[in-house]
Formats: sequence, C-alpha cells, structure tokens
Amino acid sequence: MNRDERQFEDFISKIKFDDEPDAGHRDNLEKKLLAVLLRQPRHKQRHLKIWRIIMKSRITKLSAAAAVLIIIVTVSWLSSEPGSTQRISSFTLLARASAAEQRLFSGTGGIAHIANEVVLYPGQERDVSELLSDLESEVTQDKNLAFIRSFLSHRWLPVYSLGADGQPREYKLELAKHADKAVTVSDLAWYDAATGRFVRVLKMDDRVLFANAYDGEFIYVVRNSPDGRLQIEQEAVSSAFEVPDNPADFLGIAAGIRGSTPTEEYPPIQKVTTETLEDGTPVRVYKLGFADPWGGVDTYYLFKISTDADVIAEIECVVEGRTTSIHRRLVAETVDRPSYSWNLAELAPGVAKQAGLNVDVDAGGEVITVQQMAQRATSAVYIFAQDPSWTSDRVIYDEPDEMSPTGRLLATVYRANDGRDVVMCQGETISRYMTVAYDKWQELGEPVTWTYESENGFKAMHQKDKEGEMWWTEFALKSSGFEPAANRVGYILMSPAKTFMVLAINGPVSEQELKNIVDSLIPADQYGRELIQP
Amino acid sequence: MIVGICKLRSAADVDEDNGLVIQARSGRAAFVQLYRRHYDAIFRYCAHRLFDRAAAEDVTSEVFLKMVENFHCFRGTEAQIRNWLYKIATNAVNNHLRRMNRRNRLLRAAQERANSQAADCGQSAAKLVLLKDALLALKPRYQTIITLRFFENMKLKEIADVLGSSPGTVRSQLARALAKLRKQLAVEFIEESEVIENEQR
Repeated sequence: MNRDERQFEDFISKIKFDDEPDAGHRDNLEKKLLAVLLRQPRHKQRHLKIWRIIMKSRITKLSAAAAVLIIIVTVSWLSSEPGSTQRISSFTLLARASAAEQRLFSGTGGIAHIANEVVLYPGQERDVSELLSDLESEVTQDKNLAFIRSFLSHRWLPVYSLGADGQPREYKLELAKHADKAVTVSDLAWYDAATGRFVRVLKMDDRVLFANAYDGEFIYVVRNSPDGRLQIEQEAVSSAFEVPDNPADFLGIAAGIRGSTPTEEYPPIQKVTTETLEDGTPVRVYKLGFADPWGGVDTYYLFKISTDADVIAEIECVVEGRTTSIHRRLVAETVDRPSYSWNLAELAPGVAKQAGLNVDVDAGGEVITVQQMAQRATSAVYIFAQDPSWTSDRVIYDEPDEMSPTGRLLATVYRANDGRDVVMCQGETISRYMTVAYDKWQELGEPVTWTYESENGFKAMHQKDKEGEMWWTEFALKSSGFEPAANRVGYILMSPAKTFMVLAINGPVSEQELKNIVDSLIPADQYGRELIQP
Repeated sequence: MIVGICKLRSAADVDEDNGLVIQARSGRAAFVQLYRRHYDAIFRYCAHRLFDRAAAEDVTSEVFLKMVENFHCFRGTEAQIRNWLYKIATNAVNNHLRRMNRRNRLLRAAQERANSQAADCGQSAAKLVLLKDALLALKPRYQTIITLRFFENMKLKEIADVLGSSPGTVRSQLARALAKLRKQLAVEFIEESEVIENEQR
C-alpha cells in the first residue's frame, strides 16, 4: 500500500457512515423477490433459437452423448466414511463408487459375485417419428422443441462386453417399443480375480438375453438372434488380449466409468435428502442433474445410498420427470463357483425366444460397405469419390432410424492423419429435419448464404448460429469416437436432389480443401463405377 | 482496513455457498438464503457509492430483482456470484446517477443533510461531506474502484473481475483516482480553513 492509499484510508477511517443495512428493507425486498420468483414463467426463454437451447442445456447435450446414461450403469456401490455428512461433488461420488466396485471384483478367497436388477419403464406416449411428422405438418417452436428433446432422450442403457481383442464392445439394452409396462432384467456377474475368468449374464424370466464370458482361452458372446434363438459366438483371444486391470470397467454396472467422461461433464449434485426404501433401508438420496435452460431440473439421477452400509442401494434415472429405469443392488458376495460355466458354449443352444419378449439387447450400429449403404438407403445417399486428402482409413456406420422407420442413419467416418477427423452424417431423418429448418428460413426471409456451390450441384454452408454448429459437431465427432477439437467446423450440405447432410471436421479446412471434398461427392450407387470409366 | 465492512469468509462458508448456488437454481429457499448472505454487502456498497440511504435501498432492490431475472443464466461459484452482484450493482449505481441526473441534487441534498448533522457529529460529518464531494466528482469508474478497494476491501484482482478489466489497469486507475482525490480533498481543506479564518476575523 503506497502513501496515497494509506492517507486515504486514514482519512476515511475517521468518518462515520450511514451504511448499516435496515432489516425492514431487507425483509420487504425478500418478499418482493419471492413474489417475482413465483410469478416467473418457467418457459421464459422459449423464444431462443432451438440450437441455442440445446447448446445451453447440458441435460440434452449429455443425453445425446449418452454420457449421463453411462453414469447410471456405471455406479453400484459407494464407499464413504460411515455417517459422513460431508458435502461431496458428483465426481467424488462416482470416483468413490468406481473404487468401491473395483474392490468388490478384486476380492480374494473365492469368486466375486455381483447381482443387480434393472427395471425398465415404458417411454413417452408419443413416438419420436410422430413428433417429426407433426413438426413437418406445422413448424412451431414448441413442436420443434418436443421433437429435439425426444430425439435426444435415449431410452436405452449401454451394456458393455469384452471382445477377443481385449477391447470393449457396447450394446443397447432397450425396452421394446410396444412395451406398455415395466420389465425387470437381472444382471448377474462372476469374476475370478486369480485367473481373470468371468461370466456375465442378463436375464429376464429365466431367459438369457445377453451373456459375455472368458474361460481363459475364448471369449463368448451370447445374444438373441433376430429369429428368436440364442446365438453363441466363440472366439479365441488374440495375442494382444489382456483382461483389464479393473473388471468393473467392463463387467456390469461399473462399465465405462473410468476415464470415459471428462470430470466437468458430470452433473452436479442438486440436492441431498433422506428417505426409506420399500425394504426398510434408510438411504441418503443424491440428486444429480443439470438445470435446464429454464432453471428447472427435471432430468436427473437419484443415487440412493444406504446410511447403514454406505453403499448405493438404488439408482433411479428420471427423464423429463418420468422414471425410465431403476438399478437395484441385490447381492455382492464371494462364492465358490459361478452359477454359469465360464464356457458359455455349454449353454443350451437354440433356446426359443419367449413369445412377447419386450426387452432386447442390440449391438446398435453396424459397419457396412459403400455398396451396402447404397442398397439399404431408401433415399439418395452420397459418398466422397476421393477420400479427403488429409485422412486415412474410412468406416461407414449404419443404424436403424427409429424416426423414419424405413430409413437408415448413416455416418461416414474418416480418421485423419493430422487430427482433422471427418464425419459426414446423412439419412432420411436428418434430411427431413433440415428441410423443415431450410423451409422455415425461406419463409422467414432469412438469407441462406452458401459458402461454396460446386459444379456438380452440391452446396455447403456454415450454420448461422456458431454455438449450434459447435454443439452438433461435438456430438457427431464424439459419437464417432473422436475427441472434438476447439477449432472444429461444421457444414450443412445440400445435394442436387435437395436432400441434406451434415459434415463435421475436427479442425479448420482451407477453401480449397472444402472445394475438393464437396466436388468429389457422388451418389453412393455410382461409387466405384466412375473409377473404372476411361 | 478500518472501514472495510466485508467479513472474511471461511473456506467452509464458500464451499457451502457453492452448493447453495446450485440449489438456488431450482429451490426458492436456497435462493432466499443466498440473497440474505449478500444483501448487506451489496447495500453497503450502494450506500458508499451514493451516500444516500434511500437511494442505496432503491438500487439494492434493483440489483436483487435483476438477480432474480437473470439467475437462470448464471453458471458460476459463490465467489463469482459475489462479483456478479457487484457488477450488477456497479451498473445500477452508475445508471442511477446518470438516469436521474442525481449527482448535483445528491450533492446539494447531502450538503444540506451534512450541514444539519455537522452540528451534532462535528468533524466526522464535515469529513463525510468532503469525501462525498470528492468522490462524486470522480468518473463513475474511479468511484467504483475507490469504493470496492477501500470500503468493500477487495483486492485488485477481484476489482478487475467485477469491472471486466485487468489488475494492472485497475492499479493504474486506482493511482489516478487517488491522485485526484488527494488534490480534491486538499483543496477542500484549504477552502475550509480559509473560511474558518475569515469567520474568525
């Protein structure tokens, strides 16, 4: 502090100020504020652009990336100091759970056995495909919002298995669309810490839905085939195979937690309460969720932790105020031998699928060729005749499109040598939704500025809302297994047939590079033909 | 710091408040708790800027109403919410002074009140008048810096956060503001002593 400051401080120290707050004013203002809070409309910000809403809504953002859903299936047990009431972050909560679960699997003196049950509840009344049709018939902000939220709200839970190469595989545990009541799936796992052998079985009503095992030599994956029979795949482990250090990473409820999600992505703990479960277990309930753009929290997770044993007794997932699933811990013990053989080939083959089975485990997307892409698509689909010059290998993923039931969702993914990975997504739903947006822009007289128009009839533009562009490029890149770069870019592409695609590039591209890739777009059914033309 | 009103808050308080900020997004009770924690500091800041209790209460009300309106946009910690509120308060005080063209009226009113109080409070009240005149003669930004530094006990970095500036800039602006104050207060003292001498003659 210099001389001026000291002198000024001395000067003011001798002055008596009339600055004592008045409790009456404070209390009156408090009443006014409460009245304003009560009057404040929950949906105040609906006029905002939909992309902005989504961008700001970490709930939908995370739903889209399935990150939160990973959390719900990744945590079963929480270990903390008995009776501790200390405030903890969700990251701490989940890290402790991961560590606690790892300890359960690394037990000595026998086989670790974990049993949980998962209750899946039917989804929303309105099908997402209906919502899209509704939006096409009349474009309103509310309908737009309803469609986007439904589109982004996954109703499935990820299930992880271990492949013969030691890498994890992801499947979807999903309630059938026609299901009108809740179903309960048993999730059973055994692990032998001494040898690394394991077996995991998902069952419903004594019927195996899915299983994964390692017997020391082979990896087994058992699934219901489309014709309703048990299909057993057996593959010898590769030389690179190693059982992960933490079996909780791939077995059951702790799968995927370690290092899969950046810590800042974890939803914060909103509230801590206490209650008693139906079986009489007293629990502390941690509500984890992000506030939506209107300040409410209607999509969240309830971690119910036994106050006696300090372990998670239950995890409830609530999406938009509706319970979509509950995970319950049933058993964590050490046994002499597993109830299923490590060798799943011994399972009775060809067991008929139970009639009316209303839950399924799906492998999700499938890797296909350009030719398969052309055959499967129900509308015009495109491919780069020449791969982007800075990329190496290309993979095309195909997924059923529940929003346009006859269509497919296709992603052409290039890993880049310089980090500028490329993901092009196309399909009937993407095109239908972009058509709605494009028509609306035209109707509102908003000028559409194409960044580039190629001679072959393709046009490319950036989204006007930069935040929106950052959001969907992040989604596209993350979904394709890339870490999104801060300087990623996105383009909306329109084909000569007036269909739309979206192109995410994990880094900046020059004007010439953009021209080159857009110029090389051709219909998928022409791929290969022009290469042999003179 | 003698005039510094802000109590130093413990790390535990801050941690608790961080939780409060989160809870306040969806719960009214938590919001009210947050309001109570910050009311006094914001009121005092307004009082030190405006030298007028009634005006300070009006502006404090304005600050917290703005807080209610915009709280859903706020995504920060307790430390950040304090700075956020000071930022709102700074704008509200500046707007208040500009909008109402209150400066002259405030000075006049304050002068009258101070004169009437002077008889009772003697030297302290006289100094208060001097200070008011000197402070209100400064640019609003300098007023803010002086008030945050000497009355709200803030560090240069915290002031910089409130003003969206750098600590270096704040430091140099603080020096300039103090130089002006020194000059202003010195003049007032001279004038005051001359008046006393004349009266004695």
